[in-house]
Amino acid sequence: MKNDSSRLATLVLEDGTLFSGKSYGFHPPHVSQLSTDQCICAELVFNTAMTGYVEILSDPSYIQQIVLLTSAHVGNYGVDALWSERLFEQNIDEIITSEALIVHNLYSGPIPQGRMPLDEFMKINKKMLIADVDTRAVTRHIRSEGSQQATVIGGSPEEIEGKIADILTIIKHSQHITGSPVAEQAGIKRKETITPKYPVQTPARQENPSSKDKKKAAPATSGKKKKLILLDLGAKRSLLQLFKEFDCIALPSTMGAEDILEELPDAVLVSNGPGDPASLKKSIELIQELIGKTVLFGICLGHQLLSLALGAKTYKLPFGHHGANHAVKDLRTNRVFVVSENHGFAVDSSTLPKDVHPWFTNTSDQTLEGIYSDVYKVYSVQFHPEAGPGPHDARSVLSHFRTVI
Amino acid sequence: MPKRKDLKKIAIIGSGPIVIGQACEFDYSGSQAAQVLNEEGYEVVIINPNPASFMTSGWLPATVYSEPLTMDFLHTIFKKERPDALLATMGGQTALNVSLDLHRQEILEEFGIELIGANPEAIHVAEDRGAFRQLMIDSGFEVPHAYYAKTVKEAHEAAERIGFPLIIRPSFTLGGLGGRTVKKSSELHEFVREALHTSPNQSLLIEESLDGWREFEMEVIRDSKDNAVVVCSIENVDPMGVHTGDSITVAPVQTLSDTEYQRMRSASIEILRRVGVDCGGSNVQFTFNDDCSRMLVIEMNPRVSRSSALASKATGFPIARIAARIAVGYTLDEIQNEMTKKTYACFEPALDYCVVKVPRFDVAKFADDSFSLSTEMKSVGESFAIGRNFIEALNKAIRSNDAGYDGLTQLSDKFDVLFTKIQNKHPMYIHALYSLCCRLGISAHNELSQLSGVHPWFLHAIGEQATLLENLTKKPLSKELLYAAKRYGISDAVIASTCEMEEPEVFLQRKKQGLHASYYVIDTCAGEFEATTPYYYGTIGEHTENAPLSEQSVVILGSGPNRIGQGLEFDTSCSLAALSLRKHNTPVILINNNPETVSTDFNIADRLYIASIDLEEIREVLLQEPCRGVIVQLGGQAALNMAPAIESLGIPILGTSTADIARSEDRASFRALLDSLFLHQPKNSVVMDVVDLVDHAKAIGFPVLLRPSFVLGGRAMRIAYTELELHSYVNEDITVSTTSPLLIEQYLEHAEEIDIDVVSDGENVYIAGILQHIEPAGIHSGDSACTMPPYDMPEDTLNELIRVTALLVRSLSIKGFCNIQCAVQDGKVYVIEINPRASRTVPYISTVTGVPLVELASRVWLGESLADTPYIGSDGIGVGKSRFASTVKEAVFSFSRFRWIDPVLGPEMRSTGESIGIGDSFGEAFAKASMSAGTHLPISGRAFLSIGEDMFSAVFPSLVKLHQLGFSISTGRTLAQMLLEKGMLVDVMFSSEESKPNVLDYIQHDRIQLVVNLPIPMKEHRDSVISREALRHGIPYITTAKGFAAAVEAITYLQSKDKSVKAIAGVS
Repeated sequence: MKNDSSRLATLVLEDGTLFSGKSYGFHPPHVSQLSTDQCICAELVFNTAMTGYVEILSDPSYIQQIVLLTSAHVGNYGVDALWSERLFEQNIDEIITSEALIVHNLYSGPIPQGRMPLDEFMKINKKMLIADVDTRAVTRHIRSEGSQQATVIGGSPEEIEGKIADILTIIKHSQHITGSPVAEQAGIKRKETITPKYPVQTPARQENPSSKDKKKAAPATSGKKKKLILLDLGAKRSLLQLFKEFDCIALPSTMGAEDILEELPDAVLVSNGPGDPASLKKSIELIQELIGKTVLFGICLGHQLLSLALGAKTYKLPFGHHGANHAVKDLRTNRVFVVSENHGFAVDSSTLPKDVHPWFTNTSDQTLEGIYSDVYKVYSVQFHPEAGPGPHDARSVLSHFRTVI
Repeated sequence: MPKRKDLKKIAIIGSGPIVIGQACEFDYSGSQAAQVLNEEGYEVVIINPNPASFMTSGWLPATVYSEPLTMDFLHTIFKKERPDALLATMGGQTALNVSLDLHRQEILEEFGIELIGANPEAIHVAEDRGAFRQLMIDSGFEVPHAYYAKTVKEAHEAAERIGFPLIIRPSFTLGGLGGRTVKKSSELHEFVREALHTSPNQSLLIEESLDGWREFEMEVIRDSKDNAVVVCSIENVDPMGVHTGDSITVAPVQTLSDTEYQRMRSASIEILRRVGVDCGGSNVQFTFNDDCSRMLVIEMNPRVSRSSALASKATGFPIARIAARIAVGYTLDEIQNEMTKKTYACFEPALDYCVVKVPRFDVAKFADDSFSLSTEMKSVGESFAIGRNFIEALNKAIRSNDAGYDGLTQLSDKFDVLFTKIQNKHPMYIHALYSLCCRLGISAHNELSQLSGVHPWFLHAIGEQATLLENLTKKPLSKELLYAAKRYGISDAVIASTCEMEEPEVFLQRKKQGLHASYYVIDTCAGEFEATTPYYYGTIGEHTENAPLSEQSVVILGSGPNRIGQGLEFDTSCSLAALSLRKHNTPVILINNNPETVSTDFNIADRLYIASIDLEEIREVLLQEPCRGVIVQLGGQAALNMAPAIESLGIPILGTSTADIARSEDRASFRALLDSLFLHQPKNSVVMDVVDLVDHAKAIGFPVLLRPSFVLGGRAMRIAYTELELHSYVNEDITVSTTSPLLIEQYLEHAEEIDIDVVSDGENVYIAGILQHIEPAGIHSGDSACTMPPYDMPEDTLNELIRVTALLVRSLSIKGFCNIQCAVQDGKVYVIEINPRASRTVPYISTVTGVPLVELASRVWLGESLADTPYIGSDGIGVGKSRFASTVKEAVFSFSRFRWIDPVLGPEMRSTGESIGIGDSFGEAFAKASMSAGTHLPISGRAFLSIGEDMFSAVFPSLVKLHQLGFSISTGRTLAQMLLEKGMLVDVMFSSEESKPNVLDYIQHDRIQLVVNLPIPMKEHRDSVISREALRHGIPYITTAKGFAAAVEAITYLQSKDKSVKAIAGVS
């Protein structure tokens, strides 16, 4: 926990609350040399997952966010680039998407051969890593006060106090997540064919598909492969693993609807991604043009965009759902699944139009976790059936996707 | 799905007496299940012959039977109660095996009883290693290379294919009993024979050794709609090869990546699905090799377990409660988590802390340095602690263990001993590892990890403490270093000794810097939601999360980990006191650290603190919680010993004053008291120096009883008949000094021993029970069977005992509980000792008399007088009456875990638990108690006797009776001749030293059904091989004359056909 190269650092929240820690990654600007462009300001979110820090750090949905991990120890098993959630292979120093990582205990001991220590990984990615923070106090603060913009400054809280007014001004004027169309920048820029190399994963057999499902799913693998278009707004690599048996191409969300339909897709998957869905006006318009013309799937941000395109409203949750332990209920079967969640916004279920039905709800706060519409051929979920990190329990959602194509 | 309406009455089978491998965790799960089923409107029938348990205390709204868990008695109970269902998954392996038998013998079918919680097919598959393996292979999972064997020949063939070392595991046994590593082929034959004998269905598994692999456990719950959650993941600090019960474990898993963890998580759920567990909880064990390229499934238990108790306490997810609801039809999404009241049971717990469990060994009682852990469980209990990092939790859990280690401790052993300890997995290997880290530094970590099999992650953490401690020795104690040390959970005492300071100085410095414990809620969600869970763990230097409960609150010190001499009984008393006090509108704060127990359940006290029972941690809690006083009488000797320190903090001790506690415990002042009351005591004196020992002994006269002062469970007590034995005792590493004096006492041969439990308010004395021991004085009272009412005690002796008790109790102003031990020799009453606290027998006596003793004591602690209760007569004295004609409490041993031990009884306590028998005659009560203790007395066959000549007249009447009952008798030559002179012709059998075939061969070939092997005063003459051999072959053996007499009465009862049962508590 102690390290000579460590420096004091302070997490500063928009409401002026300070939490002390020590910097282990890329060092934050020191309070004595404060300048607006050096301060990394972003929304502070906490994630309660107990494993999967590499997957979380590389998930593009965390762009413009500072991630706090509540787990007692982080860094335990090092970093392997194989776990990256970036859609395409990146250099190991370009993997991290989130702005900074806040942890309680950073592990700095030996790790398996071929892996990189977490602090080094942060450093080469030029991202801040602050450890020895009372993460539980921060979490409780966000829980009661709501999520906030924050920044990390070098120096102790005592040193920061003197400059607090300046820092808060910087935070206030920084780009906030609400209203931020950041996802439009997060995805690819041009058409790409996807031939992913996946890490070897042999998860246990998934839940028993009924024999009926099996029959329906079978042709997808036997005959000519179906074509899936991934509309990339910052997609995670794990998403593709779910569609292994499809011919898959990724397109940027800035494409026109005709260009997309020209590809003759069997379905379009609107990906996950960062930021405020309501600000993605172009993407919503694009989706509106696609509705009815092809089958549409959505995951996380994609689900929100599909909902918005259908006329529903989204709103910001007090502090979002970020973890690997939430349970969602399938309203059609009444089954519940433990799933991976990562979203700050949600779709207001009371605004769903006719012929669009709630599919899943969160069992803790009853928020909407998925919609389906056989009329519009739209099927989307707020959570992450593809895991990465998190439980694989809800992969049946994907077999459902397959059956509707 | 809503709960089932077709069920009205549900029976729960408990796990019976505490033995190694099956302890309080099943009292906890059974109690939770009974509560839940009652809340859901079902009638509940509890069957558990354990008098110490909370389940059977009468507090739960259920009809309770404490009858043996055998087919005939269960048949009678079912016939009487007619339950609709049997919940089989709450009583450990015992209940599962019994339930499966009830199913196979069609007893369940006869009465239309449905097995709920787990179906027979699932139980069978999970428990039968062969069937389970095949199912796993068919499901695409990897299992260790292994072969199933039913004969020695098959075992040899299997060994040839696997190679050595390998592991043999008998099927259907408790806590891995009989499982062991075989290193070379020469050992195989003997081990296999034994293992085959241990297994109830004579089958075993020969398996590849996975020494050094990492071991993990998953606690999973699944419902009828195929919803499943993983409540907790647990990682063992020590590698495969050590039974999980003996492992130091941490939750959550620390060393697996998400990919690896999710692979295991998905597999664990799939395994429940495949096995068919669709209405309850299970525990699935996995192992990974070094690079995680192989994940093997080890086993699964289709029931709640010790690990699930730990998981419940660790996560705030009450597994047994939820499993019970699922068993009656609910699904996970319908069940609110009552601990948090925020989440549903389908919400998987997330932890922002580490939980560490440390097993408690009574190694000193059982063996020496060469002791090594194996696949067969040997620990007797466990403690746990929670911290914001692994090392903090580990240090606190070790302290909570109360085994003499103040967190990680540097041992003074030489290098080779330390290396042996880490390689052989000595129970204290963690300290050896730490010592080596301290001595060798970081560069040795790799090698140490290789040798010990402990993963580098854990080793690094241990090494960090070594580094920190070194820094402490070098530098003055800076604020930063003190903070770092406290964050690691290092005690003030250790910091003080490292920095060459006094402990109070460290405390003062801490106080100055505001480094006090903050208390965090165990909330299941890593802070995501605000939870109402009323239980907390302390950690240093961060933000506290609770306001004080109430100045009117009462603090109860719990009893910590189970150990020999202190276990379930104390915990039951703690729980009952908390509930009684709350009933009397007093807020209760409970402090304890035993993850298995009822007292650490979330709904027993108003507030629960997980902390070590030591001054530093108790003081931190008390700083946080102003209260009206502390109860120290319920947590055993460790809690009682804290009384003066707590009082010195200015916090009142409720009940007997510290001065009176000291007066009763200090030998000299107690003797003065007895003298002033003209009461007798065995002649005794205190020896401060070894050289005086012989003189003292001669003055008292042989035989003498030797015991160090202030010990628990009579540790290191011994009887010496000769000067020679006296010397050998002193040579056994016993320190005698002014600070640790030795008590030497006249040993009253052939005296009756009496235990008396009392509740008093200082004036009014309620003598709750007078228990007569069946074994003579000199056998530790915890190991002796006893009976209430006394079975052969003259009226005037009883009156004298009452007089003596009242006199003593009033003189000491006992407020609350006390226990008095007396010996009666030739009608004369000797007071041996008085313990000013609740004894082991309180729950038993409450059961027998139907009087809620703990509630009575609680009222005394709140300041009420007993005069207002119906139990006290006009003379201020009351005496408890048994509700039954006869009851027997029998001690239960776990000797079968320690093959090399002579299972003879002596002044040092060895039993791990107790059973109860209730009957219309002494014979019936004793027979039932023995049966529940696992001793199945024969009703016919051959008895072998080995006794000294001096015992002849004591044994002869019983022998004649046994003969009349149709038993053949075999003895040695001398005894046979003596019997012949009395006109009784018996078979002569060679002793174990004589030529073959001798008695051992007869035992090995099951030609002897009962062994009576009495110790002979000059102990060398006793044939201890016989008892050991009998133990190995599961043949009842008796080591006292009175025990023999009792057994003969019991056999008389067993030969009769009567199998009546009595409810000991019922819902009116």
